[in-house]
Amino acid sequence: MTAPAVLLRAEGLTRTYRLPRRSLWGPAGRRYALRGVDLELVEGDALGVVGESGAGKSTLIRLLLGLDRADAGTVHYRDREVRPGPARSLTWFRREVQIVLQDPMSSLDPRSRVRDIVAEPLECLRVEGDHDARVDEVLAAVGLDPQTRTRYPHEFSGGQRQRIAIARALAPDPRVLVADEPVSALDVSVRAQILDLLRDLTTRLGLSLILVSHDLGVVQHLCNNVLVLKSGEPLESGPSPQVLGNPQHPYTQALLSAIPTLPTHTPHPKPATLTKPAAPDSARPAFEAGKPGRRSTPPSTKGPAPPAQRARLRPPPVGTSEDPGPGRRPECAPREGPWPPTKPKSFISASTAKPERSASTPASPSWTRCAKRSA
Amino acid sequence: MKALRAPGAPTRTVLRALVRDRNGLIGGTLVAILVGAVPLSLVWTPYDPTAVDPNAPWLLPFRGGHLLGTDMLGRDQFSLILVGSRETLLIALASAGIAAALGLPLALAAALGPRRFAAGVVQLIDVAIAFPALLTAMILAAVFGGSVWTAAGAIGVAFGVHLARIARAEIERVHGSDYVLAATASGSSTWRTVRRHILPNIAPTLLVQLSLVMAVASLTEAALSYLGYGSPAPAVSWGRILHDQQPYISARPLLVVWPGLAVALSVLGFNLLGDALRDATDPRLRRRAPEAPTDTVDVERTDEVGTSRASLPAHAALLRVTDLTIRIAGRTVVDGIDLTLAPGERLGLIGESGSGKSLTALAVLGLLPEGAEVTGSIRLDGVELLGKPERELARVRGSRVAMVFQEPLTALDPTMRIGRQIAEPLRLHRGMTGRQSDRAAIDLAARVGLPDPAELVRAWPHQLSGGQRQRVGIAIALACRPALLIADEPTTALDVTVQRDILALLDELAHEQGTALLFITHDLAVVSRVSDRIAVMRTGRVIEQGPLERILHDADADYTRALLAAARATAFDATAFDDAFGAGDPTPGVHTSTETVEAPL
Amino acid sequence: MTVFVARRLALLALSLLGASVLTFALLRLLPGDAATSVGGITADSAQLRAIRHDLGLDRPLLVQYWTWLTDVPTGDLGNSQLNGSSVTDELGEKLRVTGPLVLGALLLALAFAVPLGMLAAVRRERRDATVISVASQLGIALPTLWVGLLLILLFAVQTPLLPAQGFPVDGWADPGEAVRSLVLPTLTLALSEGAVLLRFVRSATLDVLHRDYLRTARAAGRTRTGALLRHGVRNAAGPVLSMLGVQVAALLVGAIVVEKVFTLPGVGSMLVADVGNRDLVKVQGEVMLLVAIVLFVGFLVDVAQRLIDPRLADVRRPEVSA
Repeated sequence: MTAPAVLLRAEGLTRTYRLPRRSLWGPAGRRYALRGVDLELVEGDALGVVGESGAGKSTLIRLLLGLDRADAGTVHYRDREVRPGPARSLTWFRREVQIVLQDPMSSLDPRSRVRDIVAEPLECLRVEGDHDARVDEVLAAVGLDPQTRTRYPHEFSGGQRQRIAIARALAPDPRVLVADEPVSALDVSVRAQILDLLRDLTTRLGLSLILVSHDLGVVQHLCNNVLVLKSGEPLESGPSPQVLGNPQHPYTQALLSAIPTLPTHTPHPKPATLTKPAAPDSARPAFEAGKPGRRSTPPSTKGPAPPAQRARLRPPPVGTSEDPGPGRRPECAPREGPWPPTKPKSFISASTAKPERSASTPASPSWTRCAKRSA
Repeated sequence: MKALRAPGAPTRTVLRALVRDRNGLIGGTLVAILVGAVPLSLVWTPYDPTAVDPNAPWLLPFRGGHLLGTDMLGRDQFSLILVGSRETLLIALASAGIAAALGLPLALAAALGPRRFAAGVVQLIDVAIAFPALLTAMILAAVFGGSVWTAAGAIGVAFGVHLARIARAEIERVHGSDYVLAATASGSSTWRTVRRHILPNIAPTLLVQLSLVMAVASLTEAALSYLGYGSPAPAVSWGRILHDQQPYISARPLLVVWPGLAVALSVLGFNLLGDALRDATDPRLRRRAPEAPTDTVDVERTDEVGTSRASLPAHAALLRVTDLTIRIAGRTVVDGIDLTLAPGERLGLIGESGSGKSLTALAVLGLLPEGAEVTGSIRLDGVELLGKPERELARVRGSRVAMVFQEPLTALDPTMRIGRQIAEPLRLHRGMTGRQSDRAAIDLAARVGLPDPAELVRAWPHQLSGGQRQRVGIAIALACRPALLIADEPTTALDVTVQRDILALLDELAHEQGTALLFITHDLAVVSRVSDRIAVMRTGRVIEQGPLERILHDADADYTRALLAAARATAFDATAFDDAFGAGDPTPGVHTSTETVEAPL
Repeated sequence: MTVFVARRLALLALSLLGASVLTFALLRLLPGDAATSVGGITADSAQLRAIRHDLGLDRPLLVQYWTWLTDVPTGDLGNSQLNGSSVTDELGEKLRVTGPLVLGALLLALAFAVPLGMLAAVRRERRDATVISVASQLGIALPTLWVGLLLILLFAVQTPLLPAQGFPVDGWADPGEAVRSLVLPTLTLALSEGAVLLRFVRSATLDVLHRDYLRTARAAGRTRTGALLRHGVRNAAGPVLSMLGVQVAALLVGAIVVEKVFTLPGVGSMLVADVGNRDLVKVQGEVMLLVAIVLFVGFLVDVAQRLIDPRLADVRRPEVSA
């Protein structure tokens, strides 16, 4: 059993901004947005970066994605340095690492159609294959009707727009998803749906995740590792149960104790039947079955992401014995994976196996209702 | 909170909006007449515009077949005006073309170029803007001789520089947008981003600006010809007709009216068209924006339960809202709600975006946006507030009812010192002045836990952190010890550690002063800290209200339970690690319950 | 603040230098030179050469530029190439007409544009606001020179209340007469500029009306109007000021036209005449003066904005959490 590969590694990331001069001759002040941040994303990991405003979360994301130049420190992806530069020089990296931004109202070009938005990374990264087919695939994967591809972003609700943004990120079939506060602009009920979708996708596709958030609840639900930032400096990091369950740093403790919590849920006679009674009962077991490795999974080993367990949920990492090698997978090529044995060749078909999310099953009223409304 | 609807505007929508807009219709017609006059003048004019007719000087309009009369040389004025349209349109179009050709690259260089280079370009623009078009045009005309091209060149360059300045700001706005960031992260090169995202998104602004350039170019052309630096003789220009007729103004005033009118109507046409274009492409100004779907939690449609009407005896109620309905632009956003608050009571008003909870709050203070239709009744201390004139409402606001808003960063006047703003209600309602109010402001600042209050009251809002600014907001609200405090998502914009303190402060002060609290939020966890009673709003209706405990644990409405389930599903669960810690559960977190709350759309 | 003013002054100096280069270069484009005008068509080439030498036109361009540039700070803008008179002196004289005209027009425009613009914004749904808007839209569309002609027609021709054209030969010797002859020109310029200004005031006010701090002030007990006057005006002043800075150029250009319409002996008329005569040194001085005024007003506007808006004046501080 080989140790899982380190995908993204940042060392000593530092970024400063110049302050306006206070006096004519004094030196211009500098302010650290980020100071000596180290970070490591192991394949299959979900790393949560936690911090309040001014913690340097956005700066960190820009640096990690090669969108901005660090004053010091490096970012490596699979041991290859990520240097900010012309778009072409980073194609290899962008095919592997994609981003979902905070506010779906502003992260989609209002003058582009959904199809063009989702196909953008395919075009820019010169991904081969039928782009339209791929767009339909990923739209279905995020629970949107592929028919919506000709529409404009403003015709969608916040949650739907965030799904479009996720579809865009998934289009080039990346290995790592970086999500910057992906649900904080959404209503509570939609928030849960998007979180679920993210979790579902990362599990199903074997994506690694970096999730930046001020919301510890979100991090708790998605991440198995946590890094706590304050004023640009890393304070504490480690497996989530350790950091969130038994924080060492006073700031982390303060953060945790400040979270408003609902009074604990006492069981009451009325069960919360929120589904439509009409929804086929058979749907649920199938759905549950489609999501292994959740709560039903017995806790096994200590520490972050037991490799054996997680590895089963995704295709083997590039470079291991099960994969041809470091070469790029052909677009949408079947990914061989040991589990589940019946796993369909492409992940999209995996999704269609789930009735609720499928694009064609009437059991899912999701987008079909929208299509009707717009018709 | 309500997101702007972005323009997805296909061209046809813009055209339709233009026609519906009165400005667009008038402007479009005027411009169409100007544009139509040019080809007409090339093939037909009633008379030869340059032909001198010694037999028909000084004819009044409609005499001798001369529609607008003739001048001292007997030239037909209508023909002259018709031919003059060529010069105006040509210069307008050429200037706009040159301005665009110069301004856009300059703007791109200034916005996207390497830092120092861009700074240089900006400097150049700032200097060049100081050279007025007319001045440059005069000098160029003196150098190269007056012609359409010297005029258009000078006007185009001068306004190209203006255009560059405006376009640069626009480009920077778009370039800083999230969707450009997303495009870059998708691997889009700078040029592709410019082509696919920046240009389409600044196009409306550019169009508007270009139509304004055409307007100013027409004006400048007239002035230039009037001063004698326009196109030389055979060409006809409205400006020069004005110059030629000025000496005879007392004898034949109408002769200066026609060409001036022609210029004015052309300019008006370009301007109105520009305004209409701006409105048509600005989604915020579009009369009826297409309805964007809202996210819905799909629950079974149950009739509202537990909207127990006024459980308090009438005399005990501090605030009684009955059958409040608010319509904005024809849409019912609050639909007949009833709320009651007893003195000192804490009511949490819960709802997601679009539920109408904030509008309800604003209605109580009479702060709804203009054009909102409100019906029903809002009684405070038994006195009806709806329909009260602004002056009387103002007397209630800040003294009996006060409000704390969501965005501490924008809620304070950036040009006024903190102390002044805290003291404002005291000056308004208690008649305090000078020293007295200054001292009171310091006391209040100390009361809401602001550090170093004596110093802080002299600070400006931008020098304070978000949490401090919200404390200032609370100080303003509680200055006159109101009977009712309405807090609209007061902690949503704040960090959790700050949120806790602000909530504690609100609760403590309200309790101490016996102030009733109407707390509006989308966050159930937050509201459970500061409420005795909860009302749940959804799409403009109160679907359920009751004591906090009952709502949390035994809600009647499915929607409430769905909301609670979703909140629990995404909330941080401190107990999750209690047993997991040590065991090291690798996939922490409780299974979210979205399967039961249905998928979106 | 001092840092800012120092920087902004340096920038102003740099801009002026740039402007002087532009002006100088622009004017050297003129074909033929003053020598041909001075010597007339009868002069032979030797005479022309002598005249050129006298005027310093045979020196390298850089030397000419340097000489001119180093004289400017001493207030010496050179002498007319045609009659040798001092440009500075003549400008000073002409400014006695142009100065009051431009300043008067500016004040008059502000006096009606600011209140009307605010009114149009506040009552934008009502009829009076529509009337104001339509009027300002028309005011922008009417060419300044035509407004001048119409005013002459109305107040000098139809009802001879005021002089149609000209300025007293003895200048301000009789202030009453001088003022009377400036009334119509000032009104003309003010109407044209005021219409533009009005629309800016309107849109700046509209913008401020939607700001949260006005709502806060109203929640604290101000009326709608009270909140606008107390908090809105200061905040709307910024954008209007910066627009004013740009609009000064339009005002000066307007003055050129207006002086021509009313045959006033101001800087504008002088400029028009000198461009026609190809009197390089004078045109240079005049253009420089106009451009310098525009740049200097820009500087003043920037400083004023810093005074109004403390956010601009302050160094961004790292935020302290509460």
